[in-house]
Amino acid sequence: MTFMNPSALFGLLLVPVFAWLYLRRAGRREIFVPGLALWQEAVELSGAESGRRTGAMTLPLFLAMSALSALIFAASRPVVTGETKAPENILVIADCSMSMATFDSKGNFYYRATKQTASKLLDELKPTKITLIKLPLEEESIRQDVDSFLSTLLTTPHLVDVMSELTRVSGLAAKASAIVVLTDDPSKVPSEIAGKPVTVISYGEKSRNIAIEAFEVTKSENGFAAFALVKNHSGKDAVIPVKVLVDDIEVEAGRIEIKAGGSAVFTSKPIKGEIIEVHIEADDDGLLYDNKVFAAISASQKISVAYIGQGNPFIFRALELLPQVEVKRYKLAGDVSGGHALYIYDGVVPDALPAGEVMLINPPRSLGAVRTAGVVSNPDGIRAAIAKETPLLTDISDVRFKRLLQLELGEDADILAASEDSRGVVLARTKDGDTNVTVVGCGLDLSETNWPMHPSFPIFWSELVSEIAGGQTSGVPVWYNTGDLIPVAPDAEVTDYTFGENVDTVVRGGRAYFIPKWPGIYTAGDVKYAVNVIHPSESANDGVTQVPSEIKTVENTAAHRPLWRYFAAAGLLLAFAFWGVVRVKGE
Amino acid sequence: MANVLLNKDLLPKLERLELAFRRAQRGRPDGERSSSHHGGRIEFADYRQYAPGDDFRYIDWNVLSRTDEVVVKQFEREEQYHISLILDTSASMDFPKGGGGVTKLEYASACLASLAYIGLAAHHQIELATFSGGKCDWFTVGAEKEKIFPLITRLEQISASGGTDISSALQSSFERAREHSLVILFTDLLGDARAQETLGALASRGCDISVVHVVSREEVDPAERGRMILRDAETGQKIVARITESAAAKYKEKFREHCEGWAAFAAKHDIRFLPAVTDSPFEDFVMRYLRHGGLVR
Repeated sequence: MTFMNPSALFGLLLVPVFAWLYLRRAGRREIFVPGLALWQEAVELSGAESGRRTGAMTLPLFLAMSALSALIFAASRPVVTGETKAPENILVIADCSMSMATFDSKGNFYYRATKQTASKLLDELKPTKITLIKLPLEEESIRQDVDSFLSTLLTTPHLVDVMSELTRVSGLAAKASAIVVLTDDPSKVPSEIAGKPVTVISYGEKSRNIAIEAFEVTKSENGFAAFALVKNHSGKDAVIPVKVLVDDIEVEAGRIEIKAGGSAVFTSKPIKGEIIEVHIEADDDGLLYDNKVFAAISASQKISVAYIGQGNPFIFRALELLPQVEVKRYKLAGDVSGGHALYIYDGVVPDALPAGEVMLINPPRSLGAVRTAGVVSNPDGIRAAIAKETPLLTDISDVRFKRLLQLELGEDADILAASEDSRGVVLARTKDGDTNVTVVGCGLDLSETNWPMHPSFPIFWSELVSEIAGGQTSGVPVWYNTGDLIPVAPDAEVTDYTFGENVDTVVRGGRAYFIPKWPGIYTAGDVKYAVNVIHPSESANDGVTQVPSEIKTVENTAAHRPLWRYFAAAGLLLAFAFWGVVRVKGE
Repeated sequence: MANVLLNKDLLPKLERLELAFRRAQRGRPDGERSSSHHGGRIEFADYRQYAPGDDFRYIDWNVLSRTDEVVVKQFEREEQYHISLILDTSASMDFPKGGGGVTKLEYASACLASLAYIGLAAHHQIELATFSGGKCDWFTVGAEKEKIFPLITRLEQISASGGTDISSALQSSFERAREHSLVILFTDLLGDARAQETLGALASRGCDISVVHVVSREEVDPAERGRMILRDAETGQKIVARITESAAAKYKEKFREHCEGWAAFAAKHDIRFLPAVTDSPFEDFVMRYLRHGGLVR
């Protein structure tokens, strides 16, 4: 038997002191009474004469001493040492930041090197369970097959604050018998997490990285001009070849000289095209992901909107604010030519719906899937509410309508907003064959509603056009950062990635998005999206190699039989018995 | 010690009270108070409300039948009475000891001083007797209100010691009773088996006797539990006992029987029996309880 907290045994010295105090209190307590006769009779009658004091005190004293001894013994945490067993649970935390994708001068990736070391050490230790965590804390898994799982872990271009992320795993760390952290910067890792020793497996060397840290493309008279800020993170001066590509064709090449630790700006000649790329090519560069930047001059054709009606200054003004929109006005439905992305019929309806996107504002009669069934009116104004979540409408609680159409729409129709009693329709969407129809149930002028004066009105048009255009602006170079939520046209189910990896489109609240994982050009539908450099702090990282010979583990408590629990239970039972006896005897 | 409870705010209130005498008393007719006994009647003077202790014979039945109001007739005859205030100063009166509360002796002294002040205010002749351990000391106070101060000084000099011997004190009182009319005994009624016998004899001689039975809360409802040595405050005798809930309950029962026995004895011998617990508000005790008990009005 060994004691995990032997200093507590000094507490046993308290036992005789306690016994002495108890005996002193029990044996010498004397009180004066005004008259002893009544007490004498009462004591005789109740049979409470003490008899031989020493004998009567034996039981409670014995119980008290035993309880105290057992509890002190339990506090010293005695255990019976058994057969040594493997650690119960090893928590492996992998820093998956982009700097881990750096490779050393021999061509070894930091990330792969740390994973291989971890695999080797874990194989030697043969823990009963391994919990693997990827930082940033995106997933957590418990697996036995360490090698295969480690091989599935990839670095992420997102910025990872390892120190902050580690604070989030303290709950899991508390349950682990050892913690292993794979990183390239051991200075960010504490020696203990939740009281458990941390083994850091680190791999890296002094930075050899040269990175493009900022990129800007601006419009000029003759097209566009690209500016790239290149930083030399290595300890050597470098002459860096720079290339400019427009639509995959090299249009310019040059060299820039950068001192060790310094930076330089590369400015391109005027260029024209859809995709503008700047590449740098350093001979001894540790990280390749930050060597290319992109800009997409997207949506060369404007979104053509046909307005058919008597004219509405509010609608025209809202559409004018959208630079990619080109509005063509018609007075009569019969005059409309084809080829528009959106047809807005304001107070008029065509004989037949054109294919594509159609908006019917206050339709005077039924048409196709849209059937008018009457009118709800209130000169004091009808309140309306959003009936279904949609990015088209924000808060409309302050909007009032004097007159709303009652509509009969097909089963597939969505009523997006309606009067509070649900009789009048504010906004609905339905399909009629190949036509997507948006219906507004009132005239959009101030004699019928105050909506045009409300902030939600321009937002509605902007969102509508954005939905039709797939989130693109026109004629302006755009780029995104890795991890951004990039809006795309709803029908773009998959986004193609230049370097082979496709990204699924996510649909949320009626809008479609994708989240780029790597810098590069993504294509969704006919639109290209440029995703740019990784976080500068990941480019600037100096790696440190630190390969431990073994994983530090806490003592495997499962290998011991914890006797202290039994002593604690016995102590509590004896204390309870002491309390009971004292209470019964009235001491 | 009497000053602890007898404060200057209480004195004016006491002056509005008068002692109530139940028996035919002998005295000199130069006091301020009127006597209501038949022998002393001279001339009808007034009516007043009936108070417990008043002789039924002086109730005016005519007034009662007309107004449903119980009044007694008062007759003018100025008399001075002799009042003996007998205080038990045995060791058992020094209780509770060291508890920070009022001891039985302090409470009894204050009560005695209050009654003395009421008597002195009416120019009755007051005498104080203190007894313990078979020894009884008499102290003539006087018949003027100012005499309250030497009395209080005297009471403050008293300390509790010795055993209880009520019989000797009463016997001594009996010997001086020719000139005395009212005897008020302040005691805890502990430690004297012959007390009832002597008190009964004194009562049978026509003395107006009141017993203020002073007890402490700890005597009525003892809180101590466990194994302990119980030592008698007067005799020093001790027993070792384990005070359990059951023993405490038995004690309370015995104490109640003891008090009830004395109350029954007092009722039988026409003695006023007034129990006083030291934790009860003193002013309440004097102004209300003694009035209800018929000792003052």
